[in-house]
Amino acid sequence: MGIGYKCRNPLKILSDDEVERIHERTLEVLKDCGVRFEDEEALKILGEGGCQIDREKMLARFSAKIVEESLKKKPDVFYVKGRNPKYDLKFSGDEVYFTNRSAPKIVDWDTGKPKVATVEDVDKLVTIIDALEDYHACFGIAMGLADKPVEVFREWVTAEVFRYTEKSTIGTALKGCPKWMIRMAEVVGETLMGTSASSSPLVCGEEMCRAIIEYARAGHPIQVQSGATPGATAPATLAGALVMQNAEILSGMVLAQLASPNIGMLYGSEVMPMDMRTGRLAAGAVEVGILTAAGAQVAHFYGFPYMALFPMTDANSPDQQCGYEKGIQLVLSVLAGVNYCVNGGGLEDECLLSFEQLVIDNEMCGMMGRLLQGVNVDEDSLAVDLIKEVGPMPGTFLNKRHTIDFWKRENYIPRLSARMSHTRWESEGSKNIVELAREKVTEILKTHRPVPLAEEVDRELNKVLEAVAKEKLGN
Amino acid sequence: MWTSSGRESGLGSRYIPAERGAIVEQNEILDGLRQAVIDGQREVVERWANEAIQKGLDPLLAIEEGLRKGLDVVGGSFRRGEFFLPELLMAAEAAKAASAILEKELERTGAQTPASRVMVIGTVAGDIHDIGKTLVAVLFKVAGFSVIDLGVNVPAERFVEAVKEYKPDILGLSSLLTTTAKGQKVVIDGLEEAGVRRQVKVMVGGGAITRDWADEIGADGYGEDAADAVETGEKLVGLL
Repeated sequence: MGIGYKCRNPLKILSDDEVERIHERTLEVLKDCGVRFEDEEALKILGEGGCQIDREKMLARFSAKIVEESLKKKPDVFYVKGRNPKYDLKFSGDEVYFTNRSAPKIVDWDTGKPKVATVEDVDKLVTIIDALEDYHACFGIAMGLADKPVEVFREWVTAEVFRYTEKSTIGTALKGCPKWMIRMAEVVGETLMGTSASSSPLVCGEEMCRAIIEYARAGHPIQVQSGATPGATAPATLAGALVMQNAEILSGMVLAQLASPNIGMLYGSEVMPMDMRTGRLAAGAVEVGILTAAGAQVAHFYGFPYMALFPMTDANSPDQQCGYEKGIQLVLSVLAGVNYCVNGGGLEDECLLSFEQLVIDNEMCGMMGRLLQGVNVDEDSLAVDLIKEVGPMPGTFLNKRHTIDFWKRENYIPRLSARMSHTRWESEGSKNIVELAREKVTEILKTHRPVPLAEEVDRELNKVLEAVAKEKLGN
Repeated sequence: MWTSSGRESGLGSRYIPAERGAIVEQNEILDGLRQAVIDGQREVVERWANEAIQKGLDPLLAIEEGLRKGLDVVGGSFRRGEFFLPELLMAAEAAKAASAILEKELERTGAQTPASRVMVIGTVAGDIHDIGKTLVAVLFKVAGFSVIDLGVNVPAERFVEAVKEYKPDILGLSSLLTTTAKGQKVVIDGLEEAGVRRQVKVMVGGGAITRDWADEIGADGYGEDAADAVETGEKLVGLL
């Protein structure tokens, strides 16, 4: 067994009937209303595939038959691959993988204030992700670089991810980027997870269409995602939002299958309600946890792996609010069997990435790994013979072989979470989890050396970056 | 009859009508306009606007004491957490619809349209995010601005044209992505080139935008969120 965990009995937050209803009503939306695809080639592919196309409105309508036929073409198993086969992500149904988040700004290590990351910051972040055992892949990290021109930052961030970790990563949908991501992935020998996101309501924008077509045709599995906002770009009701999300995702998946039959696909969601007091997106809301769990269930109904860009928090610092908001969402996602969980390091909606939070989230993911193992019920674990042998007090289990053999398996040993008396804690400096995480970051950066790229590969990667600069900056 | 926020309608002595009955009728129409705005009922407010015109009510009075007062009430309720964004949007849309009817009447009679501050707003080229911009537009409308929303993915030239055409007090530029934020600078440069930069206060905002960026590109103001934007905007045009 490779990396990651398994979820064998996902939580069902909706009844089977309710999921059916969501499915049926989605088909109704796709047939009667349709989805706008803002790309000529996408419309052509969909038209040839049997969709009803209104060229002028760039609208595609889908019959139930087309949807069902496309969905049948999905593969039973597919892989996203890192540099090292031990980090290959298998998607066959019940796997659970965790990764970090990306954000436009990071929390400055020295000042604690938000700032745009430099290439050096990205290198450090990727190093930390490479070192932390419960990050099974490396997500996009930074949505901006302070020391590179904005036209080329995406390719640069991806190149640094390739350089500083052997774990797999994503291909962005940003305009003009997919072909470069695909080129770089070829050079380093990885299989990306292509990403794409809808413009709600019911629009597959140009970038999304291009990403789906280009990644799928180059053989990279594609994540088709909805970013609907209940109350603003989707109905305020959770059920309505699930239908909207479903329509957007299924339509994108039909395009993917028509463009490149049997390509691997993930059902993705970044759905957060709008807080009507301010207009901000309520990233840390318990409703997000509910939607994530429900979304997983709908995805699994179709047989797709589910990706969520949660848990998230609205807290601006790694404080208690951050802990409980993320904790609640994480437990809901994991119990529902989220297959690719984009979580680590995020604060303040999706606006900030924190070094310390990366470490803390890794700890939470470790606990989730244990959660997924649940209760092992067999003769050994029921331990009835032992119970009878030990008998009533003063019988003890402390000195038994059984305890030695099993206590480690049954208990998650926290890497960082403190378990000590107040006196001891005070004598050790009264450190809270954020300070402990900070020490861990320093330790990792001092001692961890990611496996570098082979020299020729690194040279080739540089050549690609030069080509990117030439095309986008003209030099 | 209307949600009291403790404000008097204050008809003002300049509008003393000839008959007592006319006062009652006038009050009824103004109350109707106000309440329909508060309730966000566009069709009802349009009917009251037409009634006002039919009964010969001063359209300017109808706009100020009916629509404007209704929006003030809504704004107050929003700030107190009694009303939320959907109520705001519906009230603003209702007021806008009635405004159009009443301003047409003002034009017809050759009277002066009410002077209000003008804002032009849009999302920059290459960016299709619109919710933040729409929210800012609504809050500025509720604050009494006349708002021209150019939509999303607006080329820089269009912003410059709009400044020349509408002569706004404020130009609002929205950008959510780090990759399109540059477009805000392009617009400001375009205004300079066209010689109209000094005529307007430029405000910038959006998910990836910071105060530092706003200063760097020579914007006059920056809004952290929609409410902050309105406060900053009002300060810029001397209302606060």
